[in-house]
Amino acid sequence: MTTTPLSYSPEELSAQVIAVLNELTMDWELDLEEDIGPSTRLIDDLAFESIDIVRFVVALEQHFNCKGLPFEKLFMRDGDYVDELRVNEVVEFLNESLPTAHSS
Amino acid sequence: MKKLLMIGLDGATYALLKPLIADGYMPFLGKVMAEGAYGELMSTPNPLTPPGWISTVTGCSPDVHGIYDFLRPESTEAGVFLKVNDSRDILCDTVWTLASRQGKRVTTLNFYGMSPPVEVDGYLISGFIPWRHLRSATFPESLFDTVKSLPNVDIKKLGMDIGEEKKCIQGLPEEEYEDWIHLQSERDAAWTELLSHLMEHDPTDLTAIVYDGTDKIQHLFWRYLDPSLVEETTAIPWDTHIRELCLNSYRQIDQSIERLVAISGPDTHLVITSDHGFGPTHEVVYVNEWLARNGYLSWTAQTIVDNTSKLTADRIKDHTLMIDWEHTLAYSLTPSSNAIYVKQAKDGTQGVSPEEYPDFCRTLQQKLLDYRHPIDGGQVFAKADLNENRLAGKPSLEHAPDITLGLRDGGFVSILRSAEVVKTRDKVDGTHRPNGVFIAWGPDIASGKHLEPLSILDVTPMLLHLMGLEIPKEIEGRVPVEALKAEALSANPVKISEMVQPAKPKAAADRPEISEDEKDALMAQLKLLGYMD
Repeated sequence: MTTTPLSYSPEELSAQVIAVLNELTMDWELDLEEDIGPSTRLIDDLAFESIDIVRFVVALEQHFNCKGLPFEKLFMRDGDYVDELRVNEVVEFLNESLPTAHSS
Repeated sequence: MKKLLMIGLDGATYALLKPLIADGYMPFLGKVMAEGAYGELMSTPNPLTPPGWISTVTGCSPDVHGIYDFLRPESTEAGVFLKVNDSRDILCDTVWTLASRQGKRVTTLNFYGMSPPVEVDGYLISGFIPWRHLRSATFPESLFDTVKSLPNVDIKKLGMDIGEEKKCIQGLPEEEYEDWIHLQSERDAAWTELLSHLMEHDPTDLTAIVYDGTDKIQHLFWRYLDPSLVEETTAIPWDTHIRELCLNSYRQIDQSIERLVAISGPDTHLVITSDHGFGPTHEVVYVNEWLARNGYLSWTAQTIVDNTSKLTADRIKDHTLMIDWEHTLAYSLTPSSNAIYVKQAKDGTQGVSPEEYPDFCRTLQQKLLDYRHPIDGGQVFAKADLNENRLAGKPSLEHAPDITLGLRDGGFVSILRSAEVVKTRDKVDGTHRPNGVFIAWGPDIASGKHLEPLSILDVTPMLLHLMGLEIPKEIEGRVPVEALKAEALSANPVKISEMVQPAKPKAAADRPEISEDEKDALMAQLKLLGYMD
């Protein structure tokens, strides 16, 4: 299901991102100490590898039916790639980016 | 109604299949070749899995369907980036959707490039996907849960481990040989188990599967399989053991094909095709090093010299970081593309202007063709085909190569920096060739017929025809009627649809000009590939 990004509050957006992550990782047999939440780390907690990050981006684009998101602001800082990312950082990025995104 | 079973054998070549049949490893294949029609199947201009399989399942050439390689370069002001191709980048319909649209049900497993999955009337699971992402590559999604519940199918064995697959071209330590061959055989076996289950519980009109273990094994173990090299390769018992493991993987595939045909029933048409052929490669050609020595490319200062005969960097982001873009006019970004791209001047960026482009390309082409091996004096670049549409100012896909190379030993270029332009390999490996295989068998197929070479574009028309369906006129291939019995052709003549295919929103000609926002987003996505290490 795709939805209009503008209709989300930050809390709703967070829930949607967590839902996308839960769907993405549902078959991974992760041994998580707690459910995926805002402080979950993609690499250390969810064992994300490079291909997983690419697929996560595609999943977000498909879920929100949006393209035009400047993901480099999320994954690159000071000209280099970040080593880790928490769910709440993804939510903050989407909260800032989705309203100006180009809906397809 | 007759059933149609299509088996894709990635990289299959008669150079191996015929000796394997003669030696008793593939008796069923020998039977269908003797009783049916077979011939060579000529692949795409660059004989490679993505363009090869997409041309197979669309009946169109790469210039039409838009898939030239696993990755596609995108040029921006900040440099050139690589993006992963997927089903959204295919610009025309597949045989799966064409058949579904005409009322046929389809099962298709393990074909490259089918994710995100397109809706079909039946079942679809894309190939070349890590198991952790197979759910999102499956249609309908409920099929994934069905697969997970099957006691004899391990979902993890269906997926492709990217790290392991890269060893095809990056090399494999000898201590990993056995496990690696088993990995391929187990994946092929897992797909057979799954397809057998689907065929037994919900048979469809068209059933199709790709076995890709053949390609992987031939890349690394060609010298164990090629009859002309076996004596030299198998000097010690351990080598003989490795050869037997390879041979048994073909025996397993033969048994799988026989099993699937048996499940399908007696009134079945069987079509076996490959995406390209295969042959030996004896040397590594460093095309970017050649470009650098001829003034077309500059390396960045930190780029190290390869001394391992590798074809590519371990991390995709390093493909672009090796090149000094400000001082480069022509470059190659992936070995698999065998392509040279010309950096064109646009929006104020440095590069070759539209006015300079034709002469620039023709001069570069001539230099490539004139290049001779420093020791043996032979021509290294056997072909250097120009993008004639672009030269003529006609429409051309932005990511279409400017020059498509063919090496004298059929291999793929190395994009790395090197102390030499051409280096002899320590051991003979396998690499792609244009001539693959086409084998057809069944009630309507001519018996015992050796066909003249067919085009890979002919496969989709043949599949549609054998289902009694119309072939859209936009398809570039033809029905190879010479493979059919005359009476069958009379009863079921070829039907070309005059009706234009329903336009897909992503058809190239209908694509709106990409916005600046979209360009930024695209660039961001490409940068993400830096994570692909």
